[in-house]
Amino acid sequence: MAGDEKKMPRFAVVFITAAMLALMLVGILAIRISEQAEGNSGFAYKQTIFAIVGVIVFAICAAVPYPKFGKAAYPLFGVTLALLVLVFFLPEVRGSHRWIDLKFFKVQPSELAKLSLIILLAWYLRFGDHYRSLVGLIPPFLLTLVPMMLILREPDLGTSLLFLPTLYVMLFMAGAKRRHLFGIVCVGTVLLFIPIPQSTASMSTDVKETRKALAYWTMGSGDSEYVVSASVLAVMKKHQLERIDGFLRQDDPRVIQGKGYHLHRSKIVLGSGKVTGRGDWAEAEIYFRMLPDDHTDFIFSIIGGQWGFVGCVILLGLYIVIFVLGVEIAYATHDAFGRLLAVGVLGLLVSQIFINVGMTMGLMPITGMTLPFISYGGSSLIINCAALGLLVNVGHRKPILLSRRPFEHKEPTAPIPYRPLEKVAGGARWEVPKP
Amino acid sequence: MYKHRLKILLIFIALMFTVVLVRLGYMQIVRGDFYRQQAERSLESVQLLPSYRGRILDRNGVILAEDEACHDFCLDYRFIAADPRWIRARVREIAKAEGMDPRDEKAKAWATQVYDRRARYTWQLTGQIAAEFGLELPEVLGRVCRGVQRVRQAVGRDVREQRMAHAVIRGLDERQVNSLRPLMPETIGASIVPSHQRRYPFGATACHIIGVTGPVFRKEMERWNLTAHDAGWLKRMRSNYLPGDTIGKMGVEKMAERLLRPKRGFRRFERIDEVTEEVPARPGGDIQLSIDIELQAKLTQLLAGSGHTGSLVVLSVPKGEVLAMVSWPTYDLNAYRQNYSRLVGDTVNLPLHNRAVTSVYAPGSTIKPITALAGLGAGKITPDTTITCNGENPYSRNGKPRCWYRSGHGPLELVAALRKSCNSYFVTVGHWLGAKMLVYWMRDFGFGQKPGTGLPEERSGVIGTEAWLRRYRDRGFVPSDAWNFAIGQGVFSASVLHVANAHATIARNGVFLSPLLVAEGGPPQTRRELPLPQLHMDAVAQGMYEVVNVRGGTAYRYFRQGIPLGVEICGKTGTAQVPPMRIDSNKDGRIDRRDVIVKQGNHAWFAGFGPYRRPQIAFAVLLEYAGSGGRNAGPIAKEVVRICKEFGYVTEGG
Repeated sequence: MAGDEKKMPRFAVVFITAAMLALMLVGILAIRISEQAEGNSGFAYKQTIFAIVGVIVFAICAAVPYPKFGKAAYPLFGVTLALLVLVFFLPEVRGSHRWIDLKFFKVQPSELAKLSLIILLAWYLRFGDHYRSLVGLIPPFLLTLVPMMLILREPDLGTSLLFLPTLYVMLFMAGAKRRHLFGIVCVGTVLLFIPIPQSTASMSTDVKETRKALAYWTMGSGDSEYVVSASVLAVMKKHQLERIDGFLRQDDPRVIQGKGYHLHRSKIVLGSGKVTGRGDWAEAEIYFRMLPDDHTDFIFSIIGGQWGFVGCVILLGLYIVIFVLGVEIAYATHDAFGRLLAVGVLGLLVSQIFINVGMTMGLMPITGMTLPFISYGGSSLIINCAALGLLVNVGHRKPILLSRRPFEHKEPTAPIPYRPLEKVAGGARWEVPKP
Repeated sequence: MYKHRLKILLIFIALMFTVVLVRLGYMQIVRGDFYRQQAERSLESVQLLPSYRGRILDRNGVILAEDEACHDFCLDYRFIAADPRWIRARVREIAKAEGMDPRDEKAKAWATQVYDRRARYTWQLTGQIAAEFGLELPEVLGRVCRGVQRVRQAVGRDVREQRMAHAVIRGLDERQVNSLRPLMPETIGASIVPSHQRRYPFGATACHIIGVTGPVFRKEMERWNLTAHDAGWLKRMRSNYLPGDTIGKMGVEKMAERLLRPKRGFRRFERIDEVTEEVPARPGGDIQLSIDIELQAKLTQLLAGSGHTGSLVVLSVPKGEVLAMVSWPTYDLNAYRQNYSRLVGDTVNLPLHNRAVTSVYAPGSTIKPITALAGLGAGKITPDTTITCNGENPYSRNGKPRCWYRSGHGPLELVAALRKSCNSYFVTVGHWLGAKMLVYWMRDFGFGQKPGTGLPEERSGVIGTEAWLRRYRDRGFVPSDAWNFAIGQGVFSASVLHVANAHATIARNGVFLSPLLVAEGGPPQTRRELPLPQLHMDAVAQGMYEVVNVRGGTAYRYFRQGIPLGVEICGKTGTAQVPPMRIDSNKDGRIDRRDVIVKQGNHAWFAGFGPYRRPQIAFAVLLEYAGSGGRNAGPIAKEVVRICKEFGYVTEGG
C-alpha cells in the first residue's frame, strides 16, 4: 500500500469508472439472457436507460465537491426518513411497502437510505473521539437503527441487514475501540441466540415442522409441546424461517423439494456453468424454468451458468479493481470526511456483494438483495452509481493538508511519553504529525 | 492507526472474496458435471402411462373380472391450483376466439369475465357430478393434489402431472357422458377422457372368491413399494404404488395382486414436447380359477333357496380343484363401494364373510369317518369291532356327551355306527385313541391348518393341540377332549372347505391334496399319502354309502324323497351343537350373556363324495342354525350332486 500518494487518484478514477461501466454492461447482457427465456419483457431495455441515468448521477456526484454533500447530510437524512415513513401510507406492492410509484419509475427509499446514512455517519464521525467510549457509540448506532428498523418493517430484511456491516466498517475505520465493537457483537450474538421456548399448539403443521427442525431441542408432547429455539428465530415470520431452514438443510432431499427449492435451483444453474459456461443461447430457457427471480436477486447464478467459472472470476475481478483502488483512495485521502465516505461506500458494496453472491451459492440464507451494478433495478443501480461517484469524488480532490491527519488515535493503554520540548496546545493526547 | 486498520479492512475483503472463489471453484469445477447433469435432467419431464389390470377367468375362460372402458371427468391440475400463467393463457385464448386483440385492455377485461363465469360454472358442474356419485368435492380434489405432489416427490422434479388433466370423477357411463357433452363448451379446464374401471360381469356370483379392489392405503404402499435400496429408479417408477392406485383388497384380487397388477409405462420428454424415451406399459397378467362360474351361479341359487345363511363347497376328487365355493349371502361386486356401509353394518348376516373359508364351525358328525379311519389306522379298532351303545358315554360320570339316540343303538359295528351316526361308538373310539392321537390324525386330514388355496381370507380353524390348550386355555388334555374331538365338538373348528377336503381325501383312498383354486400362479399343491390300507377305506366308504342309501341311514329318508338322483353317493350328516349367535346389542364393545340372541340352533352339515365306486366330486354343505343335518342339509346336498351331474362333473351312476 505504500506508493506515491499524489499519483494515485487520477489513475484510480479512470479505472474505477471503467470497471463500473464494464459491470453495468455485463449486467445488461445477463438481464437480456434471463429475459429471453421469459419472452422479452423489456427489462434489459429499461436497465440500459437506468444505466445512462446512473452514469449521469455518477458524474454529478463525482463533480460536485464532496464536502457539500456533508453539509447537506442532515437534511438529506431527514428527507430519507420522511420517505421511509411515507411508504407505509402508500398501497402495498407484492406484499410489502417498499416502493413509491411515480408511474414511470418506482422509487425505493430504502436504497436512498443506504447512501444518506453513509454520508450522515461520515459527517457525524469526521471529528472528535467521542465514539471511543461506549456511551459515545450510542448516537451512531441510533442513527443507523432508525432507518434500519423502518426498512425492516416494510418488510425488507435484505436491505436492512446491510446497515450494520456498513456502520461497523465506518466505526472501525474511524477508530472506535476494537474491544467495544467486538463486545457489542458478542452481546448481540448472545442475545440473538438465547434459547426461548414457544408453544407449538397454535402453529400450523408446516410451521411446526420448520420450527422443530431449527430448534435447539423440543420439550413435552402433544398439546403441551414446546420448541426451544434461538430468540432471533422466535420472532421470525414463516417465510423467513423457511429460508433459514432451506439454507441450513440445503442438502436434504426433502427440503430441496420445498423450502430449499429456490436455493437448490440457483446452485444447479450456477454449478452447471462449469469452467467456461454453456455458451448456448438457446438453452437460456433453462433459467426461466428454474429461477423465477433471475433478473434481480439471482442474476449471479445466470452469469455463472452462462459464462462459467471464468466469467465469474472476471466479474469478481472487476469488483476487486474497485475495492483495491477504493482502498487506495481512502489511503491517500487526508480529509476525515472523505476517508469515512470512501470506506463507507466500500463497506456497503462489499456487504451487498458478499450477501448476494453468498446466497446464490448457498453460503448465506436467501434474502432479497441486489448485486451492485448487475441486478435489474433502477433505484439500486442509480444509488450505487451515486455512491461510487462519491468515492471517485474523494479520490480526485487534492488532499487538504492543512489539517492534521485524522483518526490517528493513540491507544490510551500506551503510556504517553513526556516530551517537554514539543508542547502542543490542548495537551499531549494527540500525536503530533511528523513533518 | 488508520492505515493499519485500512490494511485490516483490505485483508477482510480479500478473505471474503477468497471464500466466494473457493466455493465457486468447488461448485463449478469440482462438482460442475453433477450440476450440469442436474440442470439437464430438470429440463426433462416425465409422464407415467397407465395400464390395465389383468383379468380373472373361470375354468372355462369366462371373464369374471376385467378392466372395462368408461369415461372420467377430468380437471386440469393448473385449473385446480389456479395457476395464474395458465389462467392468463386461457383468457388470451378466449379473447382470440372472439377475434379480439388479446393485448387490448378492454378485450382482456371482457375475456377475464368470461373466464370467471366459466370457472364458476365448471366448479358448479363438478360439484353436481360429485354429488351424483356420492362424493365430497374437497376430498376428491385433495386426493388429486396429493397424488400429484407424491408423483413429484417420487420423481424428484417438476412432472408432467402438474400440467395435465386429472380424473376427478371416475366411471361415467355412456348416458352420463352424453348428457355432459353439450355442457362442456361452457366449462374451462374440464374434459371427459376415456378410461377404464374394474367390472365384474357376474355381479354377486362368486363375489367372495373374486374379491374387490380399492385405492391403495399408505400402509400397503409402505409394505409393497420398492425403495431406492431394492431397485433402480425406472423399475420403481413402473411398479410402485402411487396414491389413488388400485390394489386388490380381498379374495383373488388380493391373492393374485402380483400377477394381476400391470406395470405402468413411462414417457420422458425433453424440453416441452419432444419424446426422448418411451417404455410401454405392460398390462397385468390374467389369472384362471378352477371355479366353474355357471355351476357356482346355479349352486348359489340353490343355497339362497334354502332360506339359511351358509356355505357349500364342491371339489373335484382327482385333482382337488375347487369347482364351486358358495357363501350365502352374497353382495354385488359392481356396487360394492356404494353399498359398503350397509354391507359392513350388517352384523347379523355378515355378507362380507366368505363362509367357505373365513368362518369356522364345529364340524360335528361329519368328522366321524375320519375318527373311524384314525381308530382303524392306529389299530384301536377293526371294521368288525363291536361297541354297545346305551345312549350315553360309558367313560364319563354324567354320561355326556350322550348319543343323540337316547335309548341307545345297542351293539354296533363300524359300518352301522357310521350309518346311524352313533355318538357312543365314536366317543369310545376317541377314548381309546386319546386326544393326542386324534389331533395327530385330524391334522393329517388338513384340520387346524390353512387349506392352502392361497385366498387371503383363509383361516386355519382350531384343533386343540396340547400346545394350543396350554397357551389359550391354560390346561393340558383332559379326557373329554378326546370324546369331543371324536364327534367334532369341543375345541375343534373347521371351515367348510376343510370338511369338503377331508371327505375328498377319503374319496381318494387316503391321498391328501390341498384344494386348488387357481390353475397357475397360486401356492403349490401339497400331496400326502396317508398310511391307510384299502380294507379300512372300504369299510368307511361302505358306512358313508349306507348313510345315504340304506334304510336306517341318517340321510336315507331325505335322499329317497323326490326325484331319484341316479348316482350312488356317500355322505355323512352332521348336526353341530353351537352356542347361540349374539350381537353386541348394548354396545359395550364385547359380546356376552347380556347381549341379544339373534340366531340359535344347530348347524346343519352334510359332507360326502360321489359316485360311490369311482368318486369324481367331494362336497360339503353347511347351513347355519338350520337344525338337523340330514333333514336340512341333506336335500341341498342331493341337489348339489344333481346339478354337478347336469354340468358333467359327475358322469356315471357308480
